[in-house]
Amino acid sequence: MSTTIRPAPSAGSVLDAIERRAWRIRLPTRRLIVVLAGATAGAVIVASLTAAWVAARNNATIHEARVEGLGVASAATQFRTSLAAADAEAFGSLISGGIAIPPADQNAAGSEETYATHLEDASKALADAALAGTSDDARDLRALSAGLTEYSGLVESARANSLQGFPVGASYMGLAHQLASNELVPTANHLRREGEQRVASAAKSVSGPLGVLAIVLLMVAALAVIGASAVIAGRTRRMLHPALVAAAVFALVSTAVMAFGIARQFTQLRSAATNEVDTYFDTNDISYALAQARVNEISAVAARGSGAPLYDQFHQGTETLDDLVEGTDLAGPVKRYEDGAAAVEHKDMAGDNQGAAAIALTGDSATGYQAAADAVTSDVEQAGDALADRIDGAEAASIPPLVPLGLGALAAGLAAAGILYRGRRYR
Amino acid sequence: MSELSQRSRGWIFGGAAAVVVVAGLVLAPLVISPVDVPPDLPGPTTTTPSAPTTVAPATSPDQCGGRDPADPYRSLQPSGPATPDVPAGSFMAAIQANGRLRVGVSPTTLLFSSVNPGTGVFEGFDDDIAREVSRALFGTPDQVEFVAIPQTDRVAALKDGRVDMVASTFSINCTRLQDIQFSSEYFRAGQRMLVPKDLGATPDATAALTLTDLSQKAVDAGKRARVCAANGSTSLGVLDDQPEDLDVVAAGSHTECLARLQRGEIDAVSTDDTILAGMAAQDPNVTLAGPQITTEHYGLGLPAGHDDWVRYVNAVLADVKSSGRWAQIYDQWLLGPLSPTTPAPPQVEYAG
Repeated sequence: MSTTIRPAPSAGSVLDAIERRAWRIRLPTRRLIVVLAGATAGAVIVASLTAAWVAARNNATIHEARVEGLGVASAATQFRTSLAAADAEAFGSLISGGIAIPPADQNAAGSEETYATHLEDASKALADAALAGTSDDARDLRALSAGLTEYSGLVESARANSLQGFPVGASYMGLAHQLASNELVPTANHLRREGEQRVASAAKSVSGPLGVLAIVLLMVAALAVIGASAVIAGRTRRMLHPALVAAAVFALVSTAVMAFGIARQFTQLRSAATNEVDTYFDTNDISYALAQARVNEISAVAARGSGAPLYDQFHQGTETLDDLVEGTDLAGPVKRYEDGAAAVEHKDMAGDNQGAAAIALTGDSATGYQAAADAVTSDVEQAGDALADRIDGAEAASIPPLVPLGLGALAAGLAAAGILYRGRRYR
Repeated sequence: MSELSQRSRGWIFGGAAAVVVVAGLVLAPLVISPVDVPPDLPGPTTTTPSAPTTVAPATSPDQCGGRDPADPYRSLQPSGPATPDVPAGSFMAAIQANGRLRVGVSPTTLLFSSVNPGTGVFEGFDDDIAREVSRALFGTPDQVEFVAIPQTDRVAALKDGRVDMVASTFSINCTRLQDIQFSSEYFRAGQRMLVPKDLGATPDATAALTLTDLSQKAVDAGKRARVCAANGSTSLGVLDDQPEDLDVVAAGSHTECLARLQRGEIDAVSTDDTILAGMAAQDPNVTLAGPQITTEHYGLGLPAGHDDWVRYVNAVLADVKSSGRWAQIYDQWLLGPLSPTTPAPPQVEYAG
């Protein structure tokens, strides 16, 4: 068999046309076959390595988004919610003189126990955030940790002094509330936003230029296999070798796996970063707004006759709360609490501060708040579970790097083998 | 040949177009579904206490509610014995018709006015003085509705008609007299300091410390003395006027100053000794120190434009002082914490 270059045939079938074009390549057939085998296998290997690297990188990005993004954001939100709930309980001591308030419902926990539970939840959330956080979060986490310790110390000072009848107890409670409202809550909000930014950035990164590059390279590799097959068919006047067909199929499958994998990762992350996270944050916002309303109500009663501006604040807060719960199953419990608080305000403004305090601590207001808080807590837990499922879904969308690598290796081997097999008779 | 060539070109272009379409379908959702990265939020906010304000002294009666700026403590002559039998149409009659005397008080000034956490009842010297006014008006000391008002709200509460009277360690001065009236003086106090007991070498040395000593100690330690007073109090302006280089800290209330002193955030609290005595009663580790740097004349705050009410209250105060009731109330709340003996009530003169 000759290895010289010969002119292309002048007419015929599709194969003739391919043959004509194949012969335009001014290389001896043997050399052309070797070059094609090497170039095709190389293209497939480069594309596969790139795809494997991008897959590994995306997996790491998703893991980071799950842990350092959603983990931090949800822990910071839980911290804020628990702190606000603890603050609302602790504020009760302002009008009860630091004496533990008996629960309105005999089966329910007392105020001191409830306060301790909320504080413990805040502490746990902080520990979760610390486990998930990055070095960028260290400053916020240190501030929250030190602040929570200081907050609990101030509340204990408030209790101890109030129990002895010392007015300085109210000032300690005020300092604790200031610390929570002016420093801890904004810091927790900042941390939450950092986490949200990480998730959104991860979703952008996963579908970014590198993912597109990997897919384009895989397509180029698949085209290279197809093109090489055509050239070989033209030069040898023999139809496609099964190994080349298999190589092309593997290259296309690898492309499809990467393309749809990346698309799914993006979709899952985007959904986690919007739907479930939004729901989770919304329910936490309701919990926070409810606790703040309770703080304002108690503060108004504690003002002993001068609570009108604080009742105004309470009403402003409940307007926001009403907007948040509108159309949800929480609207009913929240409305019942607001009705109880309205009775407190009515009695207080009529000059019966002690009567108002009684309703606020053990009457309809207290039971209404507890019922609403329980309902919101239940919703927060459900939203948290849904978010966890979505996060798991995002992680399940990860592409094992071995998949594009394995498919690529198979495609490269088969392509090279197929091309060389066709050229075995050319010397 | 050209037909074949066109056909082959069709295959090639068709294949390329298919690849482009597939790539477009795969990549399009990624490109057209941007994820908004949420903007950053500001960090924690810090509050800055308002700076103390110094009011220029009044020079004419116009700037002192019609009183002599050199002696603004002279109130109106009492209107005879104060009894429940009041003239129809008077301010007292309106209070009786309302069924209760609304009195603005402090909820946090131990010894003068604070809430007993066990009973929820307001207790202290000022509260008992208010009860005496109730006794005169209604024949019983219990027809009082105590309304807790912050220091900064005392004048506004009277102007707005939220209360009929303010009994809250309320110093008579020309600035306030431009908006409200005052009864005759019923208590005399002075601004001093509250410091940690171990600030001096001995308890006596601590008690003798002056603002100058405190400032010098701070300078020796390489800092400025941090002295706290409540926002809206005259004490804040007095501190600002002192020659010593002080770091004056304005707090939301006097008791917040005590909390800050206990936490080591400040070196001293400076306000009326009456208030400081109540703070000392809450903490065995602090003590009053230094001489009085001002003299404060306490009067009951009353709404402007009701001279009949001012004269009636002055009559009650005159009765309380002359009957020995004033001394009884003093002994109940202040004997010991404020002074070792019962002083005589302040002697007053009236303007007319």
